[in-house]
Amino acid sequence: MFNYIKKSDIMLLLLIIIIGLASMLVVNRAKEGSGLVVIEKSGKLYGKYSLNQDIRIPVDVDGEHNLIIIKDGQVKMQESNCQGQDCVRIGSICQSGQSIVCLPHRLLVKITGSSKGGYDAITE
Amino acid sequence: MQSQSKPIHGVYRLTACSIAIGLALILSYVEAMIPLNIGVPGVKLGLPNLVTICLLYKLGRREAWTVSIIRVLLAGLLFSGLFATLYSLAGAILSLFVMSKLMDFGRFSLLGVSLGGAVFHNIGQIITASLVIQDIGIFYYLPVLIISAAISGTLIGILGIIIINRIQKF
Repeated sequence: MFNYIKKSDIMLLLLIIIIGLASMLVVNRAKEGSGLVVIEKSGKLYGKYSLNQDIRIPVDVDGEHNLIIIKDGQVKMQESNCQGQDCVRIGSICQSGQSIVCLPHRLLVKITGSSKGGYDAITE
Repeated sequence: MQSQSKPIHGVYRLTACSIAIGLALILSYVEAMIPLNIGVPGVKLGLPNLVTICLLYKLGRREAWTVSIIRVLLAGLLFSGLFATLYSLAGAILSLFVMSKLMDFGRFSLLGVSLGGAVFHNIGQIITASLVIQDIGIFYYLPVLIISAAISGTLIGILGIIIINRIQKF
C-alpha cells in the first residue's frame, strides 16, 4: 500500500502542517484579564459588554431566541431555539479572539481586546 | 467480470452512483454522531469524502459531483438545518473542485488529493461562515481547522488508497 504514496504527498502534508502552525502564530492574540464581549446580529452591532460582569443577555429578534450569559469571566450560549444547537454545545469561551456563533440566527458573540472602551453596555 | 474499454454502461453507472449516495449518507450520519467539540461547527472526520474520492478515481468527475451534491442536500434535509446545509455545500463544492484539479495534476496520489480536499472543505466552510456572520474574527479557528483537516485528510487518504486498489475495475 505504501508504494502508492508519493513524495509529493508527504511534502503537501508537511506544507499543510506548517501553514497550520504558522497561522496559529498569526491568529494568536490572546489576552488574559478583562475583555470586551461584542455581540453582533446579522452583521450589525447588538451590544458590547464587559467580560467582568455577571449578566444575562437575551437576544430575541423575529422569533429567533438566544440567551447569552456572562459570568465569572466566561461567556456561553445558554439557550437557543435554533435547529442545530451547535452554539449551545460549544460551551464557554473566555479568551480574546474566541467566539460563539449561531449560524442559523446569524448571531456572533466574540471576545475582543480589552475593555478600554469604558462602556458597560451599548445597545442599538 | 471482463474488463472492458468501452464507456461505462448506463445502468451500471446509475446503480453504482445510487449505492454511493446511500453509503455517503450513512457515513454522514455516523460522523455526525461522533461529537468533536472544538468550538467551531465544522470539525468533522470527513468520512463521506471517502466515497467522493473513490468515485473520482474509479468512475469519474461527473459521478463524483452528482453524488456529492445530492448527498449534501439530502443529508442537510434529513439531519441538519438549512444553514448547516449551505455551509456544508460550500465546503463540498470547493473541496471537490480542488480534488479534481489535484488529481489532474498527476503529481499526487490519492493521499495528496484527499489532503487537499479536506483542507479546502474546511476553508470553504469557514469562508461561508464568515460571510453569513459578516465578521472576520471567525478566522481565529482557521489553524485548528487546518490541522484537523491534515489529520482527517491523511486517514481518509490512506483508506482510499486501500479501497481503490481492492475494488474491481468498472
